Amino acid sequence: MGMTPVVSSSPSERLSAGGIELEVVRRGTGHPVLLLHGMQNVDPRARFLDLLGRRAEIIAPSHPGFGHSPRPADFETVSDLVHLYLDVLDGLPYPKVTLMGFSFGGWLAAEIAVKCCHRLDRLVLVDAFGLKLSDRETPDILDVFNTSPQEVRRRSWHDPAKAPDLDAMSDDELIVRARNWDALCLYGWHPYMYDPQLKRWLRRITIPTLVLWGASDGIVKPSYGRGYSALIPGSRFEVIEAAGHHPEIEQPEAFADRVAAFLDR
Amino acid sequence: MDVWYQCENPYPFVPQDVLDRVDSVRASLPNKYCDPKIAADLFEEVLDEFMLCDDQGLNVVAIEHHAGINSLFGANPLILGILARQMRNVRILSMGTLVSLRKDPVRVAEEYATADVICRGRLEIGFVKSGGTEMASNNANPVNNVERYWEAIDLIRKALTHQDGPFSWEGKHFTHRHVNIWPRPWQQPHPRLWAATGDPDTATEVGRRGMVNVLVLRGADGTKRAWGAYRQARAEARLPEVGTDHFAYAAFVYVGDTHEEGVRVGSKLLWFLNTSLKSAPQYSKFLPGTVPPQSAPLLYRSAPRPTTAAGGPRPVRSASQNAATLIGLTADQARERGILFAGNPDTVYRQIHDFYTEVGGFGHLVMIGRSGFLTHAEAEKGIRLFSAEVMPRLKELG
Repeated sequence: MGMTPVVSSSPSERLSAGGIELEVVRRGTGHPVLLLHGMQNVDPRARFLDLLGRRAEIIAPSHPGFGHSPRPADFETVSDLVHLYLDVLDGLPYPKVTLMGFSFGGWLAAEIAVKCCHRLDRLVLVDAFGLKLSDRETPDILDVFNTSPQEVRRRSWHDPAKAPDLDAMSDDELIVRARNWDALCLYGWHPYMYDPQLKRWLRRITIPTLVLWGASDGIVKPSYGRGYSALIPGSRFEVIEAAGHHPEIEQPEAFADRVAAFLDR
Repeated sequence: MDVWYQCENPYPFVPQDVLDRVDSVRASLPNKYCDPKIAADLFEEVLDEFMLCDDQGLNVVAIEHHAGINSLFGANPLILGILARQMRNVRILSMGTLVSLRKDPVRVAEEYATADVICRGRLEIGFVKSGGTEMASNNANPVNNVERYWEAIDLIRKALTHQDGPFSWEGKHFTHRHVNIWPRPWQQPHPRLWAATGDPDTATEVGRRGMVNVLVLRGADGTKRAWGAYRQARAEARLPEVGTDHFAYAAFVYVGDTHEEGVRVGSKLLWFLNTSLKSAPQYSKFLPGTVPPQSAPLLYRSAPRPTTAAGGPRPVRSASQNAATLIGLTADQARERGILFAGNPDTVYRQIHDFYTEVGGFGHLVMIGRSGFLTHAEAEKGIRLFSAEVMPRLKELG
């Protein structure tokens, strides 16, 4: 588990959009899927990539500031990210793609789908952030910055033994992790991981949508996922058992099966 | 040399078993452990100490920290208002309203101008970047904290000096379309500005701006590094050299009748290091944005190992990392490191003199004279002895 291996002698693949060079992980052939990562950039060693890559062409850029993607000066809002990915969509050689977002990237995917359904054929939201659903004194999304690391770990995983081991990581992996942490904080600090207006506009998503959730997610609970799904007309809500906030890591087979089945529908 | 008295008004009366059990004594410690009656007594004692300083000719510093046992001065402008009205003689340094935590710097400028007018021009304004627990307590994004800090200072400075009717500010972090504060400050063009930082990068900008750079508990090496960066930045910008009045050092100071008494009572000040700095990892080493990602290999592992990362800038120690190195210092270690000056008037003077010489001189000594369980009576005795026996000799240091 963990991070993109950072080996300076093997430059990672790049994707250029709107004058910004993004690191990108590509895997598989078939149905094109633009994958927007969550709190960590996509690890090229992750098993779900190979499993899903049998059915789909996965294009997984690292957001500016994450992984090895540079972050331009003053590029620091979710709005910047959404418009960057609109540029990415315009640059892909397909009339339509499936958009899939994990966690923080699920928030981005929902925002993009609200704006740009005509370039998408399907939407997959996995343990996604982005909405305020509960009352003003009940946070929907665990404050990962102001909560102890042990508690964040406990609530992130069905089996906390699956959590990445910082002691086992290389220096470069830890540096990437710190970049990811800083970038996530910059984009998502306030309002914390949601757009107060997004709820109003989810009705604009008119493409087939799968809202997929880890049954044991303690960062953002399955009930929130159900609420998310209820706001997107015609969307399906499914849970993956024995998985926390990262079902693609904890249950890669079940995850790939659910997504592949949805792509085939 | 000018001398200043500082007490952060800590609240040490939380049971030790509670302090041992929690992961942080700041930001997350429930305020049920703060008895308002005890707090009222503490405010009264510490404000009386400040009044004693006013009688003794010792300037005072009012700080701001939030939501923890280390300080009850979360509302600096209120404390400043009391001092501005009650004190009649000495200068008052606010260090300060934590500007990167406040949504509207114009209100901060208004508070400072008001305090400067009330005390008829005895105000000095200090800026502090804030630490991790302050970010959590104030909902302030730690990643662009330093940007907000400088933009807030720019806006406050303009609000204090602009006299020709409303101006507009549409900055990156702050917007205020109609700025026109009343009253304007007593001192023209504005009260002297200070900045507390031990980070050489920040000290560089402090130097270019010609602010007073105050180093808090950094010891000789860290102090020389910051002031070297300050002077070098001015030289590179072809700005005139500044005198020692642009440099300040803050340390624990206690003077007793005998050396033994001074060290024994002064050692109580180390409570600040040994008890009040306990801070959970999410407010310290895992706080985003406070050190470059290149420092992660040194911070993230449970035990550091030899780094294999080649090149790159030398990691800069953040305030919380500096704090971590101070936890558990003994009185002897603290005295050796220039963090505690304690003894009788002669031995305290000699310690300060030696430190002064080692770091190349400074124009202001901030004595942190009460912390932890050091009592009000002990604090007042230390203030009296310091101002009568040590302060006159320090003034001759220039």
